[in-house]
Amino acid sequence: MSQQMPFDPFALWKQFYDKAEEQWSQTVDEAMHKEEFSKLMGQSLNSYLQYQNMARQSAEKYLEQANMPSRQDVANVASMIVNVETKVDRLEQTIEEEVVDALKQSELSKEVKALKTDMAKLTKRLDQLFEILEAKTEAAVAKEAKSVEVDAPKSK
Amino acid sequence: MISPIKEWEDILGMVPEELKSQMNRAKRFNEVMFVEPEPQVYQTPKEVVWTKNKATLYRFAPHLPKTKRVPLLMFYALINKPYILDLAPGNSLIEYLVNRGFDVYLMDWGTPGPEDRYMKLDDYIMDYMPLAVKKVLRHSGSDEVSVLGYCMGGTMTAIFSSLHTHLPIKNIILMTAPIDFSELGLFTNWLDERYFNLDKMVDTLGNVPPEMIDLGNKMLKPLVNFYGPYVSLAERVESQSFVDSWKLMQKWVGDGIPFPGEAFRQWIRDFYQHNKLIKGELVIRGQRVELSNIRASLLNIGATRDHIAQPKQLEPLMDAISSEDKTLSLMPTGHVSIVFGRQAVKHTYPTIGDWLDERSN
Repeated sequence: MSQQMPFDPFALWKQFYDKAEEQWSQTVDEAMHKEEFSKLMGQSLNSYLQYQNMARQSAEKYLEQANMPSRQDVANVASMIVNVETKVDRLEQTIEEEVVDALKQSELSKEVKALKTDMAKLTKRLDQLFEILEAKTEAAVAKEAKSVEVDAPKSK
Repeated sequence: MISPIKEWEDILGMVPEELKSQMNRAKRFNEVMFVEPEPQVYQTPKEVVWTKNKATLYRFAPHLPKTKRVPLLMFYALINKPYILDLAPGNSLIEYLVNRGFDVYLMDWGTPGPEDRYMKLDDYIMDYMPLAVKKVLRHSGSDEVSVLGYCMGGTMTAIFSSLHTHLPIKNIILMTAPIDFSELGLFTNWLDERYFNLDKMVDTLGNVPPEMIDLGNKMLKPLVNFYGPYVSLAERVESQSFVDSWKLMQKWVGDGIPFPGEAFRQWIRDFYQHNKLIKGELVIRGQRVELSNIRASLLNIGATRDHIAQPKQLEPLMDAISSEDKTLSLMPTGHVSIVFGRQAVKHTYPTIGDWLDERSN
């Protein structure tokens, strides 16, 4: 047998939220759209900033009198380290790029060298071919001349 | 001697069932709020590729095979932690993409210190982002890269892509990235130059504390944002999966980082107060930003229930760029639920995965 509770706090909370969301969201939204609200927000921000400024200045004065570094001093040191890091970054980048360029150049020179060797081999082979051709041509010419000499008395 | 716990349990056993259930609910609510540890996030294995000042470039799941030729580099907003993109296993855009064979990199901006108060958007867009792209290209051995920007990181990605046309950016994905800042309702009112003393704020505070940024965002819907999460938790505290998601979301929402002072001044003045980007008046380190320089394939994703980057803020980008291959996709979610939760897993992840898949080989 289920026993019904006369009061459920979670359900009540949810109910309250749903009603508030339904009824108040529109009203809150309209209020926030008004210029007065922006003005009020601006004033609150100014007061907060004024307080922050005073707190920061007094903290800095105290730290200065106590001969202790302020947050600004630490930030200045950190900023110098960041600057050094940036310079190292640039150096690293330059080196990387130059190394890549150098690698590319060495690859290119290797290719050119290989091409030169191939060309030289080709030229050598062509020379050999020409020599063979020339020798063959000379032999053919000599043979032709000889046959002409042999045939000449017959024709007379 | 009878244990007090045993005694208490005996008393509990005698109370009516309904009351017992309510007491258990209250006990569970208390446990979730004050006793249980924070959930683990950012769990996809990653390796550090490069660091610069506080920023770190990560590569995810180095052990998994990468089947896509073009790597993906993600950029996130300067004001939050980037682990919203890798919140928990089964609920992580990064995990989804690495499981599909993408080579995923992420630029984690880190937490700026007081020494970074003079950092401007110019520094991030002209120094950090192009170097990150070059590092990814070199590390992956690819000759092209895809970039993804979420929220303010999306706006920065759009600016970066239009200024660095010499970089081989093949694909651009922007998620809830505001481009047009005209008529933003409450933000326009609150940031009115007559009342909002921006210079005094930056000069006094240096870096703007995350609580102030969070307060501004929550004030857009105060009842829903301040009160709603706890009512929802009380209502569904007995569902473990709901509690897990709730804890993850609360952890991320409350884990903001300071906004570098000068970047904040620039973000509010040039974007929210003067809307310079879409007007073509924005100047970054002496160069005018022209969105028409963007020619890469572009996927622009918005969320229909987003109050921080409304769809009307993203849509004007589609006409401003020169890309021939461009898609606008609106998801039925909110600003955060576009990358986290059931809707994200069902809609956003496959949309990004499929679009990128076609353009990454």
